[in-house]
Amino acid sequence: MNMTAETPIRGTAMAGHNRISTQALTSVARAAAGEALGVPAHDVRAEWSDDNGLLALSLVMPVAVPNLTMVLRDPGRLAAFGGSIWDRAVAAKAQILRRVTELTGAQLSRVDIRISGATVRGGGRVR
Amino acid sequence: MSQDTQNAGVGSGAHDADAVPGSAPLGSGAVGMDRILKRETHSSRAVVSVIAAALVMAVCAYALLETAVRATGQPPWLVDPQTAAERVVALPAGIGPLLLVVTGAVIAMVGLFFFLNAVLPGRRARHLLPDRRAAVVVDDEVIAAALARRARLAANVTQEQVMVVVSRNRVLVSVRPTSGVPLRPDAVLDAVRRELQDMGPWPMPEARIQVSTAGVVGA
Amino acid sequence: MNNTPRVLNRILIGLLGITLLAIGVLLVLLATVPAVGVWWHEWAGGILNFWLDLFERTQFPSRQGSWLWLVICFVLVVVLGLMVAWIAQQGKGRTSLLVAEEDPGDAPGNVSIGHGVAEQTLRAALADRPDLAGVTVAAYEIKGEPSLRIRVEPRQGVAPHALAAEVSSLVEALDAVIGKRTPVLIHIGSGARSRFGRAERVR
Repeated sequence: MNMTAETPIRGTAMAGHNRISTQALTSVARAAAGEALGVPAHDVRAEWSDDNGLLALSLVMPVAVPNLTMVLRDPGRLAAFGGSIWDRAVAAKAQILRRVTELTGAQLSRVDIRISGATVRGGGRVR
Repeated sequence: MSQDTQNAGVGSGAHDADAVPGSAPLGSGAVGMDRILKRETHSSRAVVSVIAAALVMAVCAYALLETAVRATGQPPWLVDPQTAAERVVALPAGIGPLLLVVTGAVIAMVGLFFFLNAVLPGRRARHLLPDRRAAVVVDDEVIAAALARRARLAANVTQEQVMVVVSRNRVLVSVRPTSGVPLRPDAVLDAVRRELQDMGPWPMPEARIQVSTAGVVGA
Repeated sequence: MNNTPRVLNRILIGLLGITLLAIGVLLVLLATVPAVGVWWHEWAGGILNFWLDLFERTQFPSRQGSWLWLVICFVLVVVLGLMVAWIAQQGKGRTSLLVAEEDPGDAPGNVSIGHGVAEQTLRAALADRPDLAGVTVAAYEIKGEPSLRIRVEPRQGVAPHALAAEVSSLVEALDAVIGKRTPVLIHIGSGARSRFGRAERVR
């Protein structure tokens, strides 16, 4: 989606507008998403759309998970990663929303997350 | 010791191998498993459906052509619909009886093909395995290979000397012994039976063993 | 395991079969039994006359010809369309999302998990095993619910129940990792060959 206009944001106490470009918004969103779910920012795809005047963010990204055989052997492994993908994604959604709004001042209405793949950390076999 | 082809199987009393799996005898936990299992063990008739649809489409397309041509007042392509209808009503006059019989037989055959496809269950060569979490279907080939391996080890022969045939209700193990080395069919059958017990396929097939008279030299 | 309409398939094929069978038997009887010919002339002749009459009564006001032909054309086109739709229904059902929910948690926004997650984690866990020749993971939507299909191809002689137990426990681990349970089908197969064959499975 191409936003040709730039997003105006509320200024601080001083007079005047600050505009932040779409590119910068995207970078911030991707960085925040990457941080929330433990993947590099460049693996995250972010798209913007209008939601009745507010900004809606749509993210498609992979997520880091432990190897399944490791999880079988040691259930604590999953907790070390931060829990299940679902829990992490739901928590990340709120976190990303807050962070992007905080950093850019843009008014986000929603953050849709789609987990497209998994980066498996850690091998299965211990020889 | 010359032995004729032996059937060392024990015929157990007839059991209902067609018991409805709807009551989930396999312990599959999730709801909807039964439907999945039912679908996986029977053919969907998708290929036959496509053939049937194509056939109907061909006939309809031709009929459409002739009808459209007639509707717009053009001369007919092959045969005018009305003339065709009149000729059909006038049957059997107008066509040689032999041709009529042959055509009728062919059409009836095709019809029978479709009908049977619709009515017969079309079971696939598969068995179900019990599992707590998932619905498991296994191709009969895999079961046969595993049983053959077990039989081979129990009989101490090579792979070429063992053949296992798995069908829905029966497992037949055929062994050609090594010449000069006596074979204990009961031991082999027992090993195969125990493997089947461990596996627990549904429907549980009955295992039999057949030892051939001709042996293989020096295996 | 997909949304191929099995029951519908059988019904339609059955109808076609019965129709063709009837036509074929009728033709044979017409050629061999004269009494049938007599009955046929009467019955079919009656129907033909009915239709001819119908055509007479539905003439165009302005020109020669019946508009019933156009109606027939239309019906044929509809049937053609239905056949195409029927073919299109075969083999349907693949989906890319395993789990999806609208606005879970506090913040607004949908969360969904694609089937790639299951595929990649299962493949990683089943990689480098000497007893497997192949692993395929796909997601299908059955009656609105997504489910997973794992196809495993073992090498010859591998015991299927042991393999099934291992894959099943991996699936349970996957449940924990993803956080939601979906119905799973494990198919232990021998490659594409398993479709075409009869009752015998031989080694």
